[in-house]
Amino acid sequence: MFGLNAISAHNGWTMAVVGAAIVFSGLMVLSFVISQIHKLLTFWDNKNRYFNNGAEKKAPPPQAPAQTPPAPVLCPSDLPAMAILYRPLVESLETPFQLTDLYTLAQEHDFPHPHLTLTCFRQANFLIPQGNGYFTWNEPEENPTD
Amino acid sequence: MDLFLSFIANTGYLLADYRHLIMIVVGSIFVYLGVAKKYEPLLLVPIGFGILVGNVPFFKGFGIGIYEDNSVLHYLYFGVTTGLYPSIVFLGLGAMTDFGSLLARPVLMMLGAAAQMGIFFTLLSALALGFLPEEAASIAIIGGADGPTSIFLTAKLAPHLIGPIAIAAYSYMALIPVIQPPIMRLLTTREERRIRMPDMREVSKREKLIFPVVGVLLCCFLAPTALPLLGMLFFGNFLKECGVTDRLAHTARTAIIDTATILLGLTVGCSTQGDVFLTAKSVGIFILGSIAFSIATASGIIFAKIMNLFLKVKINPLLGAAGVSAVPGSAREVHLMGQHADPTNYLLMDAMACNSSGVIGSAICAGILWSFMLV
Repeated sequence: MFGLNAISAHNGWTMAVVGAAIVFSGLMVLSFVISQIHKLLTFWDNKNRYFNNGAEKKAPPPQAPAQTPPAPVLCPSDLPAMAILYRPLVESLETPFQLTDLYTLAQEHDFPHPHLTLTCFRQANFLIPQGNGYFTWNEPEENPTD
Repeated sequence: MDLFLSFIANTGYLLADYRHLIMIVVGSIFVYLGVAKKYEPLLLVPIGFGILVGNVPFFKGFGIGIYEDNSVLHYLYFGVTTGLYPSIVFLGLGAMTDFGSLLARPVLMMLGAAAQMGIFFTLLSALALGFLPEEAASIAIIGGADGPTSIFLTAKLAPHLIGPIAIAAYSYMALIPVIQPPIMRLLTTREERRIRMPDMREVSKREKLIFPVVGVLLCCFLAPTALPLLGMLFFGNFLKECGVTDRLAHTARTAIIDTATILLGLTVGCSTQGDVFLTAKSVGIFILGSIAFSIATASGIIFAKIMNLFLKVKINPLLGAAGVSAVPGSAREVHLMGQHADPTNYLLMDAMACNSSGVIGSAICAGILWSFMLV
């Protein structure tokens, strides 16, 4: 027997449709179940919170370690005078310059507290950031000191 | 002189006919493809060499050939005819498979189901061509692109067709780089092939541990006849994931699966004795097998496109082609095709998820078809 008659005689249509439906439904169920596993595990991990309906005393949230307030930056009171000292160093650099270069020069000339001084220069807009770690010196025009 | 002439008359040179020679050529091609072209060498080399061994002509009645009682090859073939080797291969497969990507994106499991449609289409085609239902079911399972599953079901339903069905199944698995890409290109646009899959979530160790237990219970309650395959697959995976049987998992995914693969390939190859193998039915099986494989690929892609009509986050329809269970060949092809369209697109893990579900799907199909034949 051949053709459609053979398919019908051997229940081919039924086997194909039912078979396909079983495979799809089976894998769909498996897919759904495995998509829920991680949710069930999360639920299991937090079961005390759900079952005790919040009656369980919650452990106090861990105290954040007391942070010591940052020490105030004490800028030199005579910042414009310091700017005069720094000007020759800046002029020896290219424009714009890297802050690290200025810092290194200040150290080489034994200037006191160069890190603190440069921080204060930035806050007081003596040093203007140009991006990528480069700065320009702003003292002569907007911060005349002499 | 008589002794010499008698000896000459019993040599393979005089006993050979054209069918042996054809099969020796086929075996040589398999070995060539495996060694030179590196098409699935772990499968094609044992099978190809088995074809050479199985087609050495011999004087029948001395317990030499694979179909003769008490021959060594016949005893080794026992593992094929009973479905033993496929089960062992599934054990090793489970021990080497990471279902993490499937657990991370379970929706891809539907592509593994869709790609099984080739099986049922081929079932109808084989019935229409006059094959008996048991034969048609065995041929249809080639569409799952799963060699061990094909051999397992054929051993149960139509043992006389094991040779051609196994050869067809493994041939098409090896020819994935040739068969699948044109179908993928035909059914998808370049834009669709460029769709990126979102990052997968992290899957916990506990999820991977629970999955084989849930999988074996759900799948085998649905199709108990798939137990020899899926039971072993999920058991192997549990060995891998439970964390306390690393030695067993290592042995399962190395020595055990390798031994089974060698014996399976060699004996399947030997079973293709020219005088038994070269029949009109074998030709029909090869044609139907290629149709089954192509339809499986196409149905996966088309189903992925249908899913995209309803999903907010679109999936790459190429992944549908990985719904067949040729691990990891089809996943690799999908990944390569995706990268061809967009070199920065990375589909391998998602494709492996489809591949894994394809393995489960084709084993369920085998169980269902076997159940139908028991009714």
